[in-house]
Amino acid sequence: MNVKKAALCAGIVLATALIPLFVTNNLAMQYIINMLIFAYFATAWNIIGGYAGQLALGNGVYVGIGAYVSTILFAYEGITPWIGMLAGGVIAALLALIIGSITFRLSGSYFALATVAMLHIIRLTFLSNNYMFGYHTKGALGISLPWRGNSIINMQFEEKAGYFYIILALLVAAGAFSYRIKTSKMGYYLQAINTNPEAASSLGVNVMGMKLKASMISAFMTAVGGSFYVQFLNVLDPSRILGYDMSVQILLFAIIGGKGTLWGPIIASLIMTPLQDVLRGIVGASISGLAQAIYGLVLMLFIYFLPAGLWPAIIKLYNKIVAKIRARAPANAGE
Amino acid sequence: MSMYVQALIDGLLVGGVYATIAVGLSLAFGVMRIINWAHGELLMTGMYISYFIFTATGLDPYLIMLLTAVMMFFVGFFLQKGIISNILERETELEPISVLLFTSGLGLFLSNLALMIFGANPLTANTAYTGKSLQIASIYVSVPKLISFTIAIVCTLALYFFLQRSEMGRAIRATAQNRSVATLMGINMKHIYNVAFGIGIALVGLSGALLLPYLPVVPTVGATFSFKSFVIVVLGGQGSVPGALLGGLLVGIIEKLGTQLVSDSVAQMAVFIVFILVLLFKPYGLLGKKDI
Repeated sequence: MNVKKAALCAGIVLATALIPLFVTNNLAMQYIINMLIFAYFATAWNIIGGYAGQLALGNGVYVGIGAYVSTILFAYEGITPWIGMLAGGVIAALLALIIGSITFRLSGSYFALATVAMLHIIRLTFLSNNYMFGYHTKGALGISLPWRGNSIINMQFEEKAGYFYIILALLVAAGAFSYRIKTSKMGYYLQAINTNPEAASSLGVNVMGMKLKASMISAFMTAVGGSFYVQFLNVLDPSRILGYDMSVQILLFAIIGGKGTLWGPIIASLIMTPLQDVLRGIVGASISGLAQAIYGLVLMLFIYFLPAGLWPAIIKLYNKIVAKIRARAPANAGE
Repeated sequence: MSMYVQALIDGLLVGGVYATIAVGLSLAFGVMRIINWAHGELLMTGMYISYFIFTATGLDPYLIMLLTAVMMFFVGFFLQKGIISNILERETELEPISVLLFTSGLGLFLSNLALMIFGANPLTANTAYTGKSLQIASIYVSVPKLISFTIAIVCTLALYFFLQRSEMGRAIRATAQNRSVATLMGINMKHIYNVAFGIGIALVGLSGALLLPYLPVVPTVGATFSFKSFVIVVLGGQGSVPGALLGGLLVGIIEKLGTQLVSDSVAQMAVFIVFILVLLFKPYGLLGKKDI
């Protein structure tokens, strides 16, 4: 990455970090944190869904795994969510290995269906059992996190700013890691697999191995996000956290923004996540489903008109404008 | 013991309707290789349309089904003709993912539109058949389920004979077997796509009316049937009508028997697990054939 781009990114991050100093409204902060959370999830999904091109519609299962592991450890063992997060990530990665070895044998639509089936199997398991691995997870009732006090080690804060900085840090880390993958050998292997798996395989790319690796990384990141998400919400609702809607939402913005690009998922999340909250503010909670209906409509419009996504379209437009300006410059210089 | 027989019969009865719902999806996947993620939501649309025709006119649901079938045929036909075909054209691979994504957006849109307009409360149609049941020995057979089952089976058989005997049917099967060669034979591929998809959605619309006498109408009803339909398509083998029938009956039995034997959620899980197993070991379906 050249110095100019790096400086620009650093500038953006720094500017964003200043937000809590200016925004004091708790509700606004909540909206902003939501934006960052889904930008993070979309970036994590992008690794398997965008770079590797595997339409893992059931990846929401890892959000749930991360959430459950860290919450159980926090509520019943008193272990800090920072460790719980990592534990959740590791378990999610292992689960991804298992699920992947089964599902990656299938292609395209069958693969997508299989990942959703896995999501439902795990969701139903958690919903119908009051005890999981010896812990009282209360099935469909979920777990409400005990308030252990306002501190970093508990990852619980009275002021939203604490959560804000954590998710911002996570997002920056995810973005940086995603960039690292994209520009590394792994990134090129994934691109090859995305374009033509048979050709890639004939050139010596370990297709299954790479897909599993990408899936495990994505699962780890997603689970970490899931752990944070429930700490932020202070409650674990299994029908939401292991729900199909959640699973779709974490990838929706990656697709609209441009799967396979670095900034696409982030930009799309930042634009679209607030929609839900803002609409609720304007029309009130009575019009439930409006935000989701709009998401569906937007997805359809993008797939139909801009299948590559929002970010590539923006880049194209930017390049066109720059080219037009440059085309005029020599004529002006002559005068 | 009679509990299990009861569950078995119940499973068969609902399974027949599941089959009719799923066969349209199977056709679309067999002919065009597209997965209509909004299949269940189109069923939901059929159910809502049936409900409102019923409440407005009091017509017998088994007459309404003819109306909804025709309406939904055109919905399907024009959805394929106007939108999906354009997306399909852009795809270079044999299995278009864009259509999957597009239809998932459609499904999301339709179910939430229904949520916004009609609310989340279940609507039950009080038809002449609702709640009635026959008693045969110690088994109670729900009358609406029995009638719907019979009609569903008749329709599925009709579709089978249509595909086997009629000119259009053979054209559809030819397109499913080999697109390029079918075109060489003078078949208008695009028209076939439109008709095949239309037929599938017509059956979905018909099924909406068939379900009305015994199932409450909610926006989320689509999601349940979407996935069930996928499972049935995989079980029966893509593009196979007898396969869809077998798959439908099987899923119905697993559901009802499973609920009786263990619990509701375990029964649901069993369906998903069977799905994965079939995908892994018999990807062309239990009947194992590759063409319709």
